Amino acid sequence: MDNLGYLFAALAITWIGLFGYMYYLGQRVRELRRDVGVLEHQQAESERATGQGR
Amino acid sequence: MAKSRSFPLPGTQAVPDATQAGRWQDLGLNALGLLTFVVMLCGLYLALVYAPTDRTQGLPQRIFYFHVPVAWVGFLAFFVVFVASIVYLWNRSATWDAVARSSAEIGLLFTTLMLVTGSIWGKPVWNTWWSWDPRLTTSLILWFIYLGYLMLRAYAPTREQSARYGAVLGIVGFVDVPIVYMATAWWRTLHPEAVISPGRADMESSMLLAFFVSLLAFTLLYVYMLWHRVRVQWLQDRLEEMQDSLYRGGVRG
Repeated sequence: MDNLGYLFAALAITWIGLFGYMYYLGQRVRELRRDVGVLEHQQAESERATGQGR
Repeated sequence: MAKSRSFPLPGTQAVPDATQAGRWQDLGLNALGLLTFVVMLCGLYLALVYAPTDRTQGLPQRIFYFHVPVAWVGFLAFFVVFVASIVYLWNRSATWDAVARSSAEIGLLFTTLMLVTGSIWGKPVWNTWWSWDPRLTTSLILWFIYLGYLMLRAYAPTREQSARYGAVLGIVGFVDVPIVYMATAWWRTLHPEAVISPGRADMESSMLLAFFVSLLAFTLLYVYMLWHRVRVQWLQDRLEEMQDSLYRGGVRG
């Protein structure tokens, strides 16, 4: 590997690592927001059913 | 009909208008992201184009403008773990626990990048990918300490134990950070001593400018990532609380 190759490799690994992690965080936020939404809906249904049963 | 119970985010007071607060958070995060992007672009230009090529090492020396800032951010991240862990043990706030755990994860990422970029830089300069010299060895130990921290957090039997044991390790583990930093001063090492220290800078002014802008860019990136990661942790904690509550209520998902 020549000198430019070392520089390129270091930069590429740095940016792939950083962007990869940011992508992972974005995906996690989307998944968790979706899951929280589902549970909020379930909770509302449950409270509605509990209220009706009284 | 029973009113829906609100779930305040762990460690915070209930937010009267969560949507408004969420919008301000998103706005702040986007503004920080944009600032980070602009400063990072400037840093890249200065590091790869503006700064002169080193007469001795040639092009690989430009790795310095990324290797040192990521190392700095790694140390900063572990310092934040250290402080957040102390505060958590003092007041048992879930928010500070989230900050500690998030910062440890980001710190591990940056320490990994520090080791990898250092290894790539070392090959053309020292003719070796790795050496068991004090700076490199203590850095690798640092990496293992925080890998152990994250594994401890993931596999502890309860959330409370995960937070408590993690806080203790987050405080004790930080001892290695000053050792890594001072290794080149305390022992004979292959790794060069710091070229920049308080009151002294053995570099051309154009190189110094490129370095400090790059340092600022990576620091802003760390703050941006930390904010994002803490949000993930909050959402995760909220999800677990809601799951516990629904199971106690007898609702099957």
